[in-house]
Amino acid sequence: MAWKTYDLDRIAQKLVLDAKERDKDSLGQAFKMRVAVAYGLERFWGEHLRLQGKKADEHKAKYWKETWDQLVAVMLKAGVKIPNDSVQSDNEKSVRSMAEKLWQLDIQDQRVAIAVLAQVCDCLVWWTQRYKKK
Amino acid sequence: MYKKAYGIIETLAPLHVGAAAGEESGNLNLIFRDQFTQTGIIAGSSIRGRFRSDMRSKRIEWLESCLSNVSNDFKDLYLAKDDTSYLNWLEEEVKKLGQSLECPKNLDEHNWYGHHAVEGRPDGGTTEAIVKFEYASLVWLPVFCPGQPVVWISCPRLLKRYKLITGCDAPIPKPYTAAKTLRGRQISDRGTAKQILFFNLGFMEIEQQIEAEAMQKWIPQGVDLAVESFVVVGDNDIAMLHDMALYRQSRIKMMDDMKKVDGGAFFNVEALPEGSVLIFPIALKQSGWKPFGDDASQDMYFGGLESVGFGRCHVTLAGDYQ
Repeated sequence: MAWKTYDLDRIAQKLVLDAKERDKDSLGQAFKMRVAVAYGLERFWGEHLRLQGKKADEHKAKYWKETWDQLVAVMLKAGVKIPNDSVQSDNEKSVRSMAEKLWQLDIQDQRVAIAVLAQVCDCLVWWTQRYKKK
Repeated sequence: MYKKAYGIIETLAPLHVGAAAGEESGNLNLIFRDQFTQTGIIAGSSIRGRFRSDMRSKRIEWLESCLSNVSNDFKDLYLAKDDTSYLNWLEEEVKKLGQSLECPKNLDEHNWYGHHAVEGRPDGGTTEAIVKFEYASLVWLPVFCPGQPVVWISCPRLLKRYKLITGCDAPIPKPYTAAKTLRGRQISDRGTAKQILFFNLGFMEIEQQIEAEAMQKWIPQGVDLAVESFVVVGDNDIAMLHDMALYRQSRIKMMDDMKKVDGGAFFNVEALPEGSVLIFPIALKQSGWKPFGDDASQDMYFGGLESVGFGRCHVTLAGDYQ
């Protein structure tokens, strides 16, 4: 088969249901994720670190990171490697190194990844609307 | 017996031919699609309607010219009457002058496109059209590729129809064929030299590459497209790719005196994107049809939703029509 789908809708549904199971208040992150996409990969990836430190935001941080992990997996299927180091927010050196890797991504790879990420977030917003009712 | 011709339509704005707002449940105003590839079409009746309407405007001009010899302010006279159409009024006025309503044949829409039913005449006075139109099907459809130039896609089934209509003698490219000049991505570590195209919902491997000249044969007359952006995909995949490529929006009507939605005046539309290329066959029972005067091409409006900026197309006629 020459056409291969990323299965983004399926991925997004799982992400939303998992997030809801952990903490339904984190569902509101989907729209923020969609907005963050336009500013580039680094901002999207970095957001989970901002949320990481605080106890109340841990589930939200996990949601951002899981979404990022899925993007990395999907792009790898298509032959595009997106860096995904394991980083803790208090280790500045590793934050800096991962950010550098993202900024250095080939511009074409960035464009593809951003387009796919935007689509993932559109799907997340869709599923959020569906499951948001308490 | 029939003279064979065809028309090429290039959309210069999004194009919606299908149900109007409110006619379908769920408020999604779908475009018409053909039943095999599920890709957008323009119904033959819509094409005929546009040609008829444009020629009727020319006949109206002719009727006006008959009256202008007598009076220059006939438009003011008409404005005083609101119970009749402008065309009917003009015809009555010309008759009053004792002049014949028979205009030059090349301006008479009834002659070329068939006469509508008239009360009191046998068989309603309808006539067979001299010009016959079939539906327009897609030849090339633009799809956004992140990080790459936009590509125009087609599939063997659509190209087969194009071939039948134009008499093009090139062999139909196999699915997932592009010209060697396609600017796809080479992903070296996948163990394949194949080119890859990325889309929002998936990616595609180019399985065959042909010479640019061979692809060139699939560029319709009067269309400015580059072979390096053409990709032929499978018949089974075109429907999904087509849906990914469509122009979609949710739209509203606002209240006249407040900046908020007017009740339920909310609708979703889909449309073929600008840059789409379609083809439709034309059969003529006699020659002399000159809808664009001496030119072979002209801008025309098709479909609905002109109010939201849809419908402008560039139409080029080819074949044995004049």
